[in-house]
Amino acid sequence: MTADLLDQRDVPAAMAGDGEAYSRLVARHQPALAAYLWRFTRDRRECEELVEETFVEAYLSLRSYRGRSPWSHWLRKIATRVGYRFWKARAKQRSVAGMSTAAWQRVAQAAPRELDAAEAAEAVHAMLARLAPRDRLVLSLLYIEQCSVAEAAGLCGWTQTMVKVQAHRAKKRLRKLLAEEEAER
Amino acid sequence: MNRWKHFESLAARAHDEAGPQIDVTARVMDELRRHAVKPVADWPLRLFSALSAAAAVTVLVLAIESWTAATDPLSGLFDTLTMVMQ
Repeated sequence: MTADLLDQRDVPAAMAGDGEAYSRLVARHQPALAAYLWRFTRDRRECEELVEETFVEAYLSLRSYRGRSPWSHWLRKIATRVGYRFWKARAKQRSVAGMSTAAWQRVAQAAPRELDAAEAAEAVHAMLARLAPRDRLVLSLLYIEQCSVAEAAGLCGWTQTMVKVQAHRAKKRLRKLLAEEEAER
Repeated sequence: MNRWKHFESLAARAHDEAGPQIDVTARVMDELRRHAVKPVADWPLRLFSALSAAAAVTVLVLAIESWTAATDPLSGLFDTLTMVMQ
């Protein structure tokens, strides 16, 4: 039985208050969700907290799930909201501290194919972390998650036009940062 | 390779990164149990809308009855005039 079919069985049961069904949903979807939320933090403990928060929030909103799209898509939308909220909270705390770009500087000269995925991700996240959460979100979805504009719009709850405009502005700001980094080296 | 292309290649490489192996099932279920969280029930809202609909139907029935039973308030005047003119 595929995951979607299992979800079609477990989601209504969880809605009816079956805890076992919900724990099966959590167990089934947490690896994918952890990989997704790993884009929002590089800290394992924080990632666990975000995954947990997403599942709790999903349970509280279960009644709003209409079954028009797979449950995993719906869950990913909630995860995007949770991750974005996390970034916004972080941005406030970090407004004075700034962000190290050492990870970026380490790989700036290397050919991407020579790097392993974790190294590349570390560098990309270090650079994106210098952007505002909104810019970071749209670039992460389009370039790391490799979502289409329509998919990114669905995950953010924005219009496609808004995603395009936001991506254009974010790219401009990132290009500027990349140029500054190069000038500093 | 220009800076932007380099960034795009790194981001594409980062796409293949696997997330950490975690298991939060027990924590999630504990959290839900601790707060005795239940999916938000919408029955009070449904009950309220059913009562509102019932009240609206009752008012509509009474209004239609009153309307059909109502007589023209000027009929007394016109009846007298008609009688005089005849």
